[in-house]
Amino acid sequence: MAHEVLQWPSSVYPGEANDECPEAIAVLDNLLLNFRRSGPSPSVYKVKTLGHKFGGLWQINFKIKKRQVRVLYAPYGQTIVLFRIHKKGSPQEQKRAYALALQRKREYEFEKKKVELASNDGNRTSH
Amino acid sequence: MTEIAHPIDLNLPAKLRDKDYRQQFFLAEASARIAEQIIALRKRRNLNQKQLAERTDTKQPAISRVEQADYQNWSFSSLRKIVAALDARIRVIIEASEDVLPEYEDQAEFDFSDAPLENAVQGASPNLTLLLNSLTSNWNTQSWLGSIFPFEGRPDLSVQLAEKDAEIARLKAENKALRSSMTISTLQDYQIVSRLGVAPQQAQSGLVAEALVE
Repeated sequence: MAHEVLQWPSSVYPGEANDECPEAIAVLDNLLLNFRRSGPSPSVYKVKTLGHKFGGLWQINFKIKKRQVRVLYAPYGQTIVLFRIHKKGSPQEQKRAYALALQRKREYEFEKKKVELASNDGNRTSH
Repeated sequence: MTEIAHPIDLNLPAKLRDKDYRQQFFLAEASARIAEQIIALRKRRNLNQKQLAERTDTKQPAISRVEQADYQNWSFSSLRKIVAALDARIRVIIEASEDVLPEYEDQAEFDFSDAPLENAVQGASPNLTLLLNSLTSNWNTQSWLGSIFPFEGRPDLSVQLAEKDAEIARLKAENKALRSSMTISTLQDYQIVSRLGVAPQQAQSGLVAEALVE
């Protein structure tokens, strides 16, 4: 099945990706097309699920011009949401990137839940 | 379900006008396709990476590297070794960028995953149309599609499909073989096949959709 690739917040792509790793845009575009076609775990990328400690984030690392680029995201059924794209730097920078991605993931899930609950309430009152 | 996340606009047609970008994009695409094909063929031969490495006089990590989309240090001789070990052939197609750019414009303009099916089907490549048409020799494109959605009020669509049928009839008359399998290589075809619920397992990028016609 085809997947939909989205972002949270709206600054992840191309905004942050362009700021952090402009040389990786062509490869990132290919990765996003691959996500659409093959889903969150395309066979030709190093996909890692980060487990409970990282709130169920997934990551893909790839190398471009001898630098590692990291994409942090999560699948929700047929939808894949990108939370952070960054160039891999020092351990402290990586830690900050994970924390930011996790915070965004929680915020996205919270907002989504809110909207769903509101819409369920609306449906109930209309019956 | 309510979706609140923001869409991503790849803006490929505009980006591909830039020569540097498109060289990088094409290289990334080719690298991913090579890796994808090696993995698929290695699995088809029931080999693990270590076994393939032994057959190519190299080590397992080297095979792991070439099966990654970001591996771009290909030499023709190393590719030839791997391909020989997998008992396959290499086919190289070099295409002028002006000939292939329209493919990406199509992909960018339409997201067929959400489009009404009739619009999506219009985006099918000729190969997919032929493949679907050959599901049974009694079907033609119009009747096949007619079973999926009604043509009423869409004379424009009927004309297009009639043209496709005429083309298929011409190919048959010229005794040109209709392909009964194809590689799902365009996003449109993938999305169409997926949405029709036909052999979704097989309908992954780069895999041959043979199961469609069995």
